[in-house]
Amino acid sequence: MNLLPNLLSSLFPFDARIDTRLGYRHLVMAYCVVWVIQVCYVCYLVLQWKSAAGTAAKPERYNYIERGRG
Amino acid sequence: MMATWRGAGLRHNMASSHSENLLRIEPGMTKALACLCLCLTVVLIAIATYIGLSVVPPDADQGNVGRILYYHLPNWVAMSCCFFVNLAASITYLASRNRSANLALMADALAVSTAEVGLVFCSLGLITGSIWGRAVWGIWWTWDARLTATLVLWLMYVAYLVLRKVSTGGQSRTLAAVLAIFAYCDVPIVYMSTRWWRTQHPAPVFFGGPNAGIDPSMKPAVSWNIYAWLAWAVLLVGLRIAIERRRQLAAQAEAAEALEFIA
Repeated sequence: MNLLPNLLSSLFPFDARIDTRLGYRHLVMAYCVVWVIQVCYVCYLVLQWKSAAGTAAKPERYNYIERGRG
Repeated sequence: MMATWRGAGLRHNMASSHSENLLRIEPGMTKALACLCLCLTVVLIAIATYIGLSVVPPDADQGNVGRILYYHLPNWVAMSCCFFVNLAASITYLASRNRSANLALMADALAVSTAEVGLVFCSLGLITGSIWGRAVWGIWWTWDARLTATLVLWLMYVAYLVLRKVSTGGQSRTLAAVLAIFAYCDVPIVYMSTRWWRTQHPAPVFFGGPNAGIDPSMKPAVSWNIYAWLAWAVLLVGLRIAIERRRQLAAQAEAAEALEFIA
């Protein structure tokens, strides 16, 4: 259960003489937010890539009139 | 009528074998290259993060919370580069749209890709700045010149992407390119805002004059993080361009089939 706090304390330095709890929380928050948003954006791009691949792989004879685009 | 006009341009494009070569993607090679770039960039970011968090000393005034700088600053550098490339690509699109369809399409793909990736970095810059501000200034946000100009910049690029998403007319790419040129006018204002006005945001640290700058002990963390996040930005832009080119190819194939059907 203490895995996450232990991991965070080993990754993010904290010195009680110069740091406040608020400052430490915000340091962790800033780094985590950057990673979460970047990973989310990469996931979005991968989904878009798959979606674009699906569009590109449509059958050759594609009837526009039947699909209501004509 | 519209389909015929588009198709005429398309036939002209597809007649050239050179253009076909430009549009062709070698799946295996691209995937391997992308994986290699991804691995190298992730390693670079890991090293940069380690240096930022563990190697360099804490800030003399702010303590360890000052290490937010090592993620906050690279976001702005990456954003500035992306928006500059977006400007160049938009101008190229406007200049080449009636001369070289392939160049225009490539420039358009680059423009939309850099705008999207730049917006991600701009959002992250605003968010990390806000988190840092809460810890150091005691406030999440203030309407000073730097922050307000940046928010306006963010809104303009959101508008650019919304325009591209919702507009379906034949002129949407041209309108987006013009909007991108107007939006970029805010970038120098954002950069100069701390020189022109008194702001809550600190005075320029880099290129700010004789008394500005950072302690030499902080430089490795700043440089490594800037290079690492720039590499990440290049990777994201590359992936986004590949997606856009796929869409363009699919749209061209659809238009060609529609033409065939009409004929």
